[in-house]
Amino acid sequence: MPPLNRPSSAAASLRGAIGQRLGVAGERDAGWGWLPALSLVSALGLLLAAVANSAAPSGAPWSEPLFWSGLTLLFTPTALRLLMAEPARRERLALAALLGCGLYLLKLMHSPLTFTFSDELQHWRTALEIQRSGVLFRENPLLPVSALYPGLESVTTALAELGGLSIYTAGIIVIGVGRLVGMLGLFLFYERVSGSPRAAGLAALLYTANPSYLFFGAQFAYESLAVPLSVLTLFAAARRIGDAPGLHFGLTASLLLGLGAVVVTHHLTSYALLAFLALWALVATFGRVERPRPHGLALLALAASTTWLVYVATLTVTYLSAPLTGAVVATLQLIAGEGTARELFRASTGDLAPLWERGAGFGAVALILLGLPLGLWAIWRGARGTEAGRMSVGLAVTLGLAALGYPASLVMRLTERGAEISNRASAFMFLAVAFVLACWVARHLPRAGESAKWLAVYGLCATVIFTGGVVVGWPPWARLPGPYLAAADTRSIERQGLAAAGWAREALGPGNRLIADRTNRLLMGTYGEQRPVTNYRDQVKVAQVFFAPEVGPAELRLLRRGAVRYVVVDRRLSTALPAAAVYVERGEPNAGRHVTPIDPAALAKFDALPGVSRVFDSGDIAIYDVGALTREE
Amino acid sequence: VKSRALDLVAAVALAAGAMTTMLWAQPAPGGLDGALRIFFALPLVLVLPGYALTAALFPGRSLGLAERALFSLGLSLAVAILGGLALHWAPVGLRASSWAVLLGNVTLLGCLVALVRRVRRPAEPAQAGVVFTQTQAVALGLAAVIACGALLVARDGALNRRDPGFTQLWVLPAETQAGAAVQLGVANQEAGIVRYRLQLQAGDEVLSAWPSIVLAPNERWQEVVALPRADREVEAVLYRLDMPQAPYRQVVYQFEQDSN
Repeated sequence: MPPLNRPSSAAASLRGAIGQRLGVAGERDAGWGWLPALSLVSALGLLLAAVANSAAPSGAPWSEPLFWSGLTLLFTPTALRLLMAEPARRERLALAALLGCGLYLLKLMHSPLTFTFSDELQHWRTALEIQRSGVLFRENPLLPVSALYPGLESVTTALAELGGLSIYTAGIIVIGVGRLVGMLGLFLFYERVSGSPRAAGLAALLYTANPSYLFFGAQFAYESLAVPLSVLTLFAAARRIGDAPGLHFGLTASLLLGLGAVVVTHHLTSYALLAFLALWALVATFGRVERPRPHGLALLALAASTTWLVYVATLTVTYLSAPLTGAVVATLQLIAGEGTARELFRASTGDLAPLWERGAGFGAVALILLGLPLGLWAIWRGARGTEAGRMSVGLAVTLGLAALGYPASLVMRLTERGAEISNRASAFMFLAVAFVLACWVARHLPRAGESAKWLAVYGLCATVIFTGGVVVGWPPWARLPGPYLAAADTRSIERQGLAAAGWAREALGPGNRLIADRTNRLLMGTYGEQRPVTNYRDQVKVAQVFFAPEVGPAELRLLRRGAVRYVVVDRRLSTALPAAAVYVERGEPNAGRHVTPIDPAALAKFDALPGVSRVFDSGDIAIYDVGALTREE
Repeated sequence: VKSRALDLVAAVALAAGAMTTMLWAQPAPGGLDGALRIFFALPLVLVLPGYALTAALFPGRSLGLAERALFSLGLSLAVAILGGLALHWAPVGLRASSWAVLLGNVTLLGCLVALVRRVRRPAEPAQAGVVFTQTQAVALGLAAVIACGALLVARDGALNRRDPGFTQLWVLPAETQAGAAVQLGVANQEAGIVRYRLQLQAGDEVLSAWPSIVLAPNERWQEVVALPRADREVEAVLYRLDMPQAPYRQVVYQFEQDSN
């Protein structure tokens, strides 16, 4: 640990020790530098990605290389420029914002007409309920916990109502503004902590390499808005340190608003923010370096999160505890030798990622693991430096300590249940990891004479880390639109399913209780306005009804317990293994380990069932009315 | 005072215009009213409340341009999120009019506080704005045009995506004065015009038949068919006339037997 027992009056003089070491000298606040040129390059990158997205559904083999070319054009030139010493602060800030917004546009190109990611559809349902009823907290059978954190949907419906826009249009605008807030906030926060615009630009750049950033963190879901708001809160908190007292009231009010918004918007983000503030308070307690201390803020975050959890969102406990406990237990079993590690880069369909993708994934992790100790050493040196500076030592050390959680999150990645948790954690973990890595680069480059050789090396490393993040964060089949795949979330959403859901809404009316596979459940719950029955929400093992070879007494009991009126059967499920690990829902037989597709006879069993009507048939999708079986006598 | 409050005056004017439009203009998407609503809604939700609050909370020039932009956008989002809670607990609920009043008044109040606090402070030099040279502006403009073009290319690709075609067939119970009936429907979502043959049968007996139903893409056909007697089960079988050998779609409706 660096010695943090300096008096708080010395904090200001300490801040900037690392700043100068990290290359503040030589930076000047003038001109936009390469921003216009790099904007053009980024726009061309977007154009390539757009052509790739446009051609992918027809199976064009060149669409994937074109997608990666566009992505590289967006990232690498900006990375190289941010590595250089010359750019002024405003150019660095603008480049960080440009990169964040460019990557968001690239995500939009994946689904430019409507929401197609499963989480997006779940949150869409919450927004639709708010729009219809004019109140919050209406039940969302697709994702019950979403209704209890209605921050995103609240802003979205406000914009949709006032502007006469669709939820989709309003949603992508709100997430886009959130993305801009996130990148501006990240740069300013990192700059405040490091005292160096160069380190700030690099840290913001490296943050975009987190596996969640390109797709998961840009979708219409609560985390996509909550993370930028938490960054805003952190910046307001960091900005209070050692500043003129005249700003304290405004900054305190801002961070309170930000904190409140985060608590109302997303459970995990508010807990991650709370954990960070608690760690910062701990560091400040032992280090006594910064005022105002974050203890009050940490306590307030604890009180706000707990109050919301207890009085509004108790469901969060069951929602989060099962996957978290499962992931931790699986990891411990793996460590104890009682469990087997999952094969990395092997999809549930059995497909192995291409060699270059595996190389990028492993390379990214190796580079981060190599860079972390170097970055921690740079922070240590900066904190011990005697030069008067602008660094926030306590915050820098807190980020350094938080980054130590990264290797632990990698271990979780080796288990089936931990992989998703690890991916989700990356949005928070990289806040620290990116800073630590940037500290090393910004410290080393000036000492290496800013040579072209080192710029190229670091540019390559940044590109590998970014590419590895994309590879690890989103499966190959989901990165571009394409022909239908079975149980593959975004790739399973196509005209026939949408039309079936539209038919259900018109012909059956809204609110019918039905069961369906994971894709049709989402479509029926949103476009169809139906009430899907699930194991999670209704404690009805829906999957068993689909997998059973016949409708026996057990299946009948399940249907009756769920008061199911309709069963939606997609015959395409029997043609392939589920790309997203399960056909129906978590906990289904052989979930994540299917070796053969679901039996076609099991899907056809409703055809010969007395009292059951096949009321709809569109070739692949059939809808059965099982009301006669499940109606109470 | 005028020169020091131009931004606040503009914010007040926009908020007032937004409230007026939202409270009195009828929504007509695509029309002038629709465009006006979008013009006012975007700043009212995403910029103005945060801008006014930022101006009220930080009256001096202590914040840089980027910080001011961050707080303006971020606090606008926070106000809308927390404002949604307030509207939920208020009798008015989350409706366009209540949103307009809430966000408009937050903006007006923020601007008022900001004005008072600014006037009380000594004059400060203006902050440097965002200025581009002509060449830079052209390059940035061109980049924006290319980015918009890229979005249009992606949108066009999604619109013209060729998923496999399909035909929907359905049967639902219906009521007629004559008694039991079923509603039959066919929707063509194939790539081109399709000629169908449909027959309704109970067991081996054909109850009704439609030898030729011609549907263009996206066209649908529906008919309510009275049943001659209360059959327990009726089946509708659809054939494509270009593939007449095998049924193309089949649906079944089983009537519940009266226990009496």
